[in-house]
Amino acid sequence: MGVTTGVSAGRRSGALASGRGSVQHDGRRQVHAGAPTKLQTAKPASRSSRLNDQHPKAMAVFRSCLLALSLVVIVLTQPNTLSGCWVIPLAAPELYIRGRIVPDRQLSLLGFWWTSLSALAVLWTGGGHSPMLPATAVGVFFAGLGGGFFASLEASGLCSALLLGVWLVGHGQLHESTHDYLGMSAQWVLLSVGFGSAGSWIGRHNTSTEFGSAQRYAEARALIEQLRSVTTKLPGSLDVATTCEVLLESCLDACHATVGAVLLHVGDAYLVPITMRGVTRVPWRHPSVGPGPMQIAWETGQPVIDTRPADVSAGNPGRRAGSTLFVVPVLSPDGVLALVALQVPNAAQFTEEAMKAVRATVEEYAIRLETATLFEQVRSAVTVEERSRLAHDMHDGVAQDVAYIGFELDLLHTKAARVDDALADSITQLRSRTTRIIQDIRASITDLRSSRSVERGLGSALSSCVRNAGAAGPLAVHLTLDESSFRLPAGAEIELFRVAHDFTKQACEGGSARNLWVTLVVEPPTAFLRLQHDGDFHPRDLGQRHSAQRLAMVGGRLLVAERAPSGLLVEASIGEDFS
Amino acid sequence: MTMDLVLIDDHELIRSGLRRTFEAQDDMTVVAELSTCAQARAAVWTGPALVTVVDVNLPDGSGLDLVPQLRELAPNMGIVVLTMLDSDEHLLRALDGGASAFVTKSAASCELVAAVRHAAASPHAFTAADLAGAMRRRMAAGRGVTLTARERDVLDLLKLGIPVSSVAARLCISSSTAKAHISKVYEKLGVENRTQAIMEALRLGLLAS
Repeated sequence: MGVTTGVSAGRRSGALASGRGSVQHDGRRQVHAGAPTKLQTAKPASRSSRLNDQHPKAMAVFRSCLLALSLVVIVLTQPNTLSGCWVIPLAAPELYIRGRIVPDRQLSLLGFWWTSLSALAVLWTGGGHSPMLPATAVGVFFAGLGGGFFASLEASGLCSALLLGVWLVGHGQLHESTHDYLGMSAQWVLLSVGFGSAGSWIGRHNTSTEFGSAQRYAEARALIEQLRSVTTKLPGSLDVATTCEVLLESCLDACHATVGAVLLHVGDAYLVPITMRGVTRVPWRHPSVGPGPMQIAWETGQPVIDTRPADVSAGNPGRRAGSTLFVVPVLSPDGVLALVALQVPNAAQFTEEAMKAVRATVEEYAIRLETATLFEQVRSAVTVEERSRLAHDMHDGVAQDVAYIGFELDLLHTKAARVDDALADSITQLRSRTTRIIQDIRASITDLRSSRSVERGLGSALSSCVRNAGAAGPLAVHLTLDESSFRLPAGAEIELFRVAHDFTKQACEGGSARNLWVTLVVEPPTAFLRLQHDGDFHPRDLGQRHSAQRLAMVGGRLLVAERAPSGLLVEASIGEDFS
Repeated sequence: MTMDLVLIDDHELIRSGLRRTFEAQDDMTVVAELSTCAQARAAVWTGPALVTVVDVNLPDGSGLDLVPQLRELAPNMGIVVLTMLDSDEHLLRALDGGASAFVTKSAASCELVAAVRHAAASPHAFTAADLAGAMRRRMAAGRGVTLTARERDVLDLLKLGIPVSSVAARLCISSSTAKAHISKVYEKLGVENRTQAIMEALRLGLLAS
């Protein structure tokens, strides 16, 4: 029992613990960071709305005081018995606020009718000395209450037009008495504007008080509708891989290059080659490994062009054959989001126009890539949360229930052993099966949490998995890791981990295996995982259809075969065939 | 002499199964059943042969964090950690916390009863299935860690407690590169922060104390 670790020289040392952050689970990146989008245009609640939400009773008192003040103003300006009648129309809005007896639109309409009728009534009842003049302000108040400030302005305008227009129609021309009439009318029109403003203010607060929560739901619904609309109407998609593919194709076309890659920034300071052309592995030095054009572009956020002359003595392919590398950082408000690397054999291919076109393309796609990355983070967060919830439910539910049944079976066995040996043996077998079920549930819980397990890197997760397998039974684990400085996409890491996890579980459950060999070679965007055990081979082991299907979704292949002289061999590869 | 047992588990069904298992023994009595860390801390831990069986996942915290607190409250009490998800990490944390035994819920009742008897007799001696294997794996994992010269430089500066920007300045590298080196060190040591990294490096002999 134990773990032996082999690490290839010059690549990666001490590789038992290998962890890096991942695209989806980087908790430090804020989902709402970055350039503003339509989703960020939701209007925040105003200070007065918040005040109304927080202190509804105080605001109700304030409204009542405002109503009383209005009544006082009317009584002082029209000191006659008719003034008392205005209590009723002015109290109506408060009644409306308390009980919402009239819907908003009808109230606004009522305000317009009231304004029109009162303006006509003014003309019929004495013009400038009419006791109906204050009634015009009431109508405007209603309009503002139901339709807002602009409705109150419209009502005031209507009132002015009627007062002036009908007067002119009725009197034909302006004379001395007209000045008094116009003065009084203008005074009440101005007052009505004030009343209208007050009405619109009260109406807005009433809405926010009684329907604040509903309004928020409506806003949330509108935002979700916008998100759905945005995702369906975008020219590309919100898929990171597709966006990178299109970006790389556009850049390669712009400078007629045949070798290139888009490397996405994940975690603290790691790059994942999302898409590549003309090469099967990343031929350039990772920024964290050593100096070079990638590091300069990474650290400065500026495009870098690096020409390397041919090394005639080496006679090797790759950059030693002489090439020019053009690295363009994809920038977001948070920094470098990705690096676009383009390589050509001849520096002359990178003309000013070509480089300008590449830079323009990268700039154009930066917001798309950032949006796709954010969307991926949101989607992954939801998936991870759901898997965690399921794992938690399984742990607290069925696992505990089965463990309880195990305890009860032990008790039953003790009693049965006193009276019937055959029954006791049956219970022992049942207990053994129950223990296996608990182990299966435990393995499933681990699998559900596997997306979190690989946050620190595939190698690290794999090491932990096989170590636990070694701990659980008489299994000697031989682990060899050979990982690049670059990382695989998170989805590929998760699927490879699941394959390893399932295989390890199978090796433990079989009981006959004494050795488990695990070899992992990661050279993004390709990876190779070989798993072997020396236990019994069952033809049913060949049917790992689900694993193969899942692996195929991330561009991988699965090979299952009988191992010579005994046991099972599983090889999973992503990208180019390593063999 | 009768052993008084306290059960700390938030699953009523499990407590019920444990109670029936222990009470089937002539010398064991379950005197209390608790379901949270807070209840456990509030309880008065007395008794000549008291053994506590504590679950790892409790609603208000981890049973593994509770173990050292219980050990402080009742230095001579036997503490048996009972868990659904066994792992080397849990086992070694139970050992470090001062538990007397570590048992999985899939284990047969006789194993659990034996662990309780051991905890009552030798509360300060730890027992667990495959303890030796876990220790060996921990040592093997530690031996596998090798840092590059640059990572050692970074680790040396981290030990001084200076911020990342100063680490970068002293090594004449950018902050991004310094962060990458730090991430790599954390990754190799299997830790998540600076303090853990320094402690682990000291333990593995990668840093001079």
